[in-house]
Amino acid sequence: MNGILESLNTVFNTFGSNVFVPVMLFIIAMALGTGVKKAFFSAIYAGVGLVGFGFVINAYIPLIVPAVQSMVEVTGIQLEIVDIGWQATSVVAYATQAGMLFLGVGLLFQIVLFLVGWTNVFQPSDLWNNYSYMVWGSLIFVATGNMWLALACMLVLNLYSLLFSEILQKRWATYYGYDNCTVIQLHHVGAVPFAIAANWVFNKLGLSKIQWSPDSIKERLGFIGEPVTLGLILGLLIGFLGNMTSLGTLGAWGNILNIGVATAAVMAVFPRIAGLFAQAFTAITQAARERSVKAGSREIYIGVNDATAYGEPATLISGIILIPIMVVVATIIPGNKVLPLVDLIALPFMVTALVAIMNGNIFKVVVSGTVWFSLGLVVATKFSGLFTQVASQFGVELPSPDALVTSFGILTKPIFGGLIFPAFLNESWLWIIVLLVIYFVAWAWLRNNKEAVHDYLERTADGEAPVEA
Amino acid sequence: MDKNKKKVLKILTVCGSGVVSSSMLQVRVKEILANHGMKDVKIFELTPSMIKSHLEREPADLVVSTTKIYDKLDIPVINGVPVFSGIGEDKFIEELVSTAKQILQDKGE
Repeated sequence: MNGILESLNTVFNTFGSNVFVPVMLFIIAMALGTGVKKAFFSAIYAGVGLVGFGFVINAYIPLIVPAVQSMVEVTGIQLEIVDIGWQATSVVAYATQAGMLFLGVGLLFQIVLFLVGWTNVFQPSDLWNNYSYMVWGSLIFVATGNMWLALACMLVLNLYSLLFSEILQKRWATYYGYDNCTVIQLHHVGAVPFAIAANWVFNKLGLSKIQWSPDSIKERLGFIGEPVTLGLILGLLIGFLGNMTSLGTLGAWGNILNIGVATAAVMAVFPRIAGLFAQAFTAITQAARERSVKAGSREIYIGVNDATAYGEPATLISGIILIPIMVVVATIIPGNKVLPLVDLIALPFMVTALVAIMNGNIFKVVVSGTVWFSLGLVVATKFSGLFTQVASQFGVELPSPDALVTSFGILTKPIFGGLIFPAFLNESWLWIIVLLVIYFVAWAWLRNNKEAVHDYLERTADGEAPVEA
Repeated sequence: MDKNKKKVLKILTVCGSGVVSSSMLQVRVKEILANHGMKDVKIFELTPSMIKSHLEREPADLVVSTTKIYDKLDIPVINGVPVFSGIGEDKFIEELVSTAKQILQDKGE
């Protein structure tokens, strides 16, 4: 088996990801029986997305990284790690060897887990978001050179996210009104245990009574949620801080305005490229589902894209309120060096598990979100060196060797990134065994108590009614 | 020429980010309509908050969305979640095709 991995590696290095990813997608699409035409378009869109992404990111990074570095120098705000966003991260992840491996193995793993009844969540309908596992796997591979370890890490993360998703599924489907659908993304369901604990504390404190109305806030703050406006504001802010000592010069203002416009452009253009890339997954996603999901007697939940939750008023508003909060909080958290930037616009996605568990109570979501994402920032800071290495190996060109990048949306994961991933990174077998034991115990427990868990979440979402008067 | 131009179906596919689902949806909508003989289709991928300003610039005939649309619109909105979940997909196809046919018929008059 090691021989196969090695020869794959050689082929990969020779052709590069722009060729290798499309070929892999073509093979998987054909294996799932999509037909040549659809398989071909899947492949070509993946290639186009990868190349297009390279164009954009490599135009933006030489501009933003020096700007952030000069902001750090001038103001002393130690936020030197630039958040390049989930779109960039997804493309980087798919372009790594670990990503390539998981594209096939992960898909198979998820289909089998569903078919044998290990889980009732059908995950391949959200195939695209598998990049969230690939990121962590590629960090392991870059650090240890051990693909087996990287694969093991991705599979364990996958098992845990399915577990969390099974806890959340009913609440999520009820709150958002999508029958038998749930979110399964690693980067969202990681918040489930925290959200349950936080909601328990909030309810004990009687905070369910605080109800903020979404509409008035939306009218006042809605403009922050527009990608180009947010990009412009953030860019101008960074530019201004970086040029504070030379505001008397024309050049400084030219630089400030240019950074503003460029950041607005990135917010508008990244999604278009990611959209091209995502088209590559339509045919495979559909074919995988049609082949595996048969209507039967058991209750199943279909994993859907997190975008289905966006736009729900409480979700959108809590996310938007968190945008300025996280920028300020980032400057004061000890141990954080990440400057949240491109992924700020994704905050209305990142809160979806909190929103469902707290039944759309904006106050609760904002408070718990601030804590949760702050913890996440420390995790992302810790692994930014590794992530930068992965990103630069796969096409992101950095202007200086000490520049660091991350993704605020994807790498800020206290449980997955802070507790599970390091076990594999440190090759700590004891830790890995403990994680597996916890998983199997939790899995078995959930299997027998699922209804009770789901009932508990329904009952406590809006604050538990007093049992006795 | 003029007559042809009238018959183009303009559809907005919508998801939260205007990126991933809307783009996948776009592929499926085109495919489904083409299978039913409707090939002149122009699709725009948007976020929910972009719909209104887009409609001011350029009218469209139909919205297919994976998120709930809270704004009141003058054009039909079809829930696109079945494309991903597979639950009620036949119904979705039926609704999409019949709505599209109706729109084309109205345009033809």
